[in-house]
Amino acid sequence: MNHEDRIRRVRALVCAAKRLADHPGELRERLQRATGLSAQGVDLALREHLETQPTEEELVALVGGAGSAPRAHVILSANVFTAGLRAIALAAATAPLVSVRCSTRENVFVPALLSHLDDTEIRQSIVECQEISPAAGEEIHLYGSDESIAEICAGLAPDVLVRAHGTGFGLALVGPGVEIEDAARALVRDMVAFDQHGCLSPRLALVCGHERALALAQAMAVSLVQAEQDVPVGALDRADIVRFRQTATVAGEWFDASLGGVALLSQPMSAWIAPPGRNMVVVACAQEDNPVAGLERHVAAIGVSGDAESCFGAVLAACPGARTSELGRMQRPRFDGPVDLRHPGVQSPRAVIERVRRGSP
Amino acid sequence: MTVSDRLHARVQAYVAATCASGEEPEPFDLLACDLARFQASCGNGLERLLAARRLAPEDLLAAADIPAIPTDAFKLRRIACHEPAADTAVFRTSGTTVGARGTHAMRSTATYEAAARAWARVMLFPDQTPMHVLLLAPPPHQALDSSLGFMLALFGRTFGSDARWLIDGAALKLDDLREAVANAAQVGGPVFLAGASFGFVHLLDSLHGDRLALPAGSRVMQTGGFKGKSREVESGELRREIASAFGLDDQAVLGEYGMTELSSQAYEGTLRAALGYGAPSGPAGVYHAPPWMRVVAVEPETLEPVEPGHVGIARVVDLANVDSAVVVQTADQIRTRAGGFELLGRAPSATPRGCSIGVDELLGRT
Repeated sequence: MNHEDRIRRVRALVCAAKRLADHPGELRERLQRATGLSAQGVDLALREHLETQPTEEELVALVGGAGSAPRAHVILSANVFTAGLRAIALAAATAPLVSVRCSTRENVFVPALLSHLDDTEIRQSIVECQEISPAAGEEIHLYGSDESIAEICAGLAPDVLVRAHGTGFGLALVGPGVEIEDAARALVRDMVAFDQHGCLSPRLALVCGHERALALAQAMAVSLVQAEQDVPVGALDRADIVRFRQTATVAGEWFDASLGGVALLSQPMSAWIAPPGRNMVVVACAQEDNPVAGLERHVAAIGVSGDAESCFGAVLAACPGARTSELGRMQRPRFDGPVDLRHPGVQSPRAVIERVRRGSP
Repeated sequence: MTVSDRLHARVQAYVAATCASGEEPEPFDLLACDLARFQASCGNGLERLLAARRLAPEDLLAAADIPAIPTDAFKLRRIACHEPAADTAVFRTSGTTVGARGTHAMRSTATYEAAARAWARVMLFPDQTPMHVLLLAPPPHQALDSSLGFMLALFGRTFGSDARWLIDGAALKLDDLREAVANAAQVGGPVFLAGASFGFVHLLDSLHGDRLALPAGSRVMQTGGFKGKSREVESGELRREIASAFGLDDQAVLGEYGMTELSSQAYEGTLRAALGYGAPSGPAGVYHAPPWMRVVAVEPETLEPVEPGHVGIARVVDLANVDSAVVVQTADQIRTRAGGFELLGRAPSATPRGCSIGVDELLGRT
């Protein structure tokens, strides 16, 4: 495939996604059932988080970063249904033949997306299947938890080329020089998308100074209540939230917000993150603190508000692979390659297993 | 004498009296509430849970009224009624690759020791036979913050005179085990072999099917999960494999339930049953707590007790936790049974994981 072929294939997928988002029909209900999101949560994802309008520059970057193989295989995770578009686009830019295995929990979006491809040749080159068995020299793109990825890699032939995107979470950094209420609203926007189930979803926010951390926690609680009215949270593990609230109450301060809340901590003994839903851990930091020490490899995304460099230089330096964006845009990463930039390039299955085992970035 | 000292003395008296005669020197609930009031007054976090429920410490009338401190909180802040300078022991939960470690600081270990010894005497050594003690763990100087190591050392000192530690660093001292077993067989007298479940898995793997028959009257205590440190083995199967490897009856292999955040332990009652003792005794899989420890199954979404026989998560009232948290909320699933409780493993999160990191993983709740 030449560059134009690759661009054409990716663009065809984007167009299919746009048609789908414009006229989802009964897909909305099926997605709601499969994802556990509310109806409004599904609409929000289709309307604002499915990448239906990438720029030319982004398309070129995505295709330019893709590999080259006779066939690419994709194993998807379920948590963020719109992620199927980017994952398949990357595979379609890599190889003329693509096999996709959806998660058993969410196998609604991808078949719908593929059925909306209007180019017959491209449609026939991308197949959804239950079994994935890549041959030597073919690429496999894996999305899921580190454990699942290691398990899959253990069954692969040694010469298969693996691009693995594993366990992660999003980190918000609120530095000086920004209105706290603005930062709170932006952060809540990032939380509402996919009910924090994605590996880019913010689950921990670091704020420079205790007073601003307190103000952020208070403002977020207000914003979360408002957000719940617009986009109600979907299915929740209430036991996780009860545990989170009890622990937050003992270890710091708790700010209740409808079906979730915000935990404010000062100098916790170890890093902590909020459970998915509508929850956040806010940690008050001083310069040079690195409250994510030991967790750096799991920080897949960083959302920045204000002058982060002045307060979070140590954190930013410790997470060089994280995809960094403005707060409020953490769930709208540029369509320029995989969302997860921590592990660029291909590796052998053994190298991926070793990386997971060592817990190295 | 400080308030803490007085409470330690009351709990030790409670332990001694309930083990000796079965009679309470004072009501359990009274002592639990006094401990809670002391802990709330010292700012261990309980006062915040009380405030969140709009309760004053003086409103507490029964142990069931006391809000429980979640085990996760031990990983995020110090849960103690004394300054770090007064620590005589600091126990930490085992860590995972990512997981944080919980910390349980003790100003005095006297009550812990009294409670651990007393219930071990009832559940592990009811026949009061002197034992050769073999400990499948690194010696305390190699694991200063291990509560299990501390307890095993205590048992070694209390119930035997020649305790041997069978792990050096991460290495299993298999030759030492063989020699100790041979020696026990030669001089006579039963063996008490104890350690973590994952240690037994490694030991069984190292034996490659060999058998090391222990003398009559010997017993094995195993505790805890596998935490990624060995292959996982179903508890019944592990019991059978241990029994087979050491030539014991299955009933001589019993499980212990304890955790770093607690000061008391519960045991299966199989050994007592096999030796012909009455309650607390019973089948494998049912754990028996001492009189100073109450284990209640609660509904994870409301933290209210579930109906007897229903599954809930374990809320533990441990009177021996004098200077930390008298009521601890665990994430362990249990089902209460007559005289005890069944341990059903970690409560699974209903939250789908995908690539999103789990709070469990981060906090090392494995």
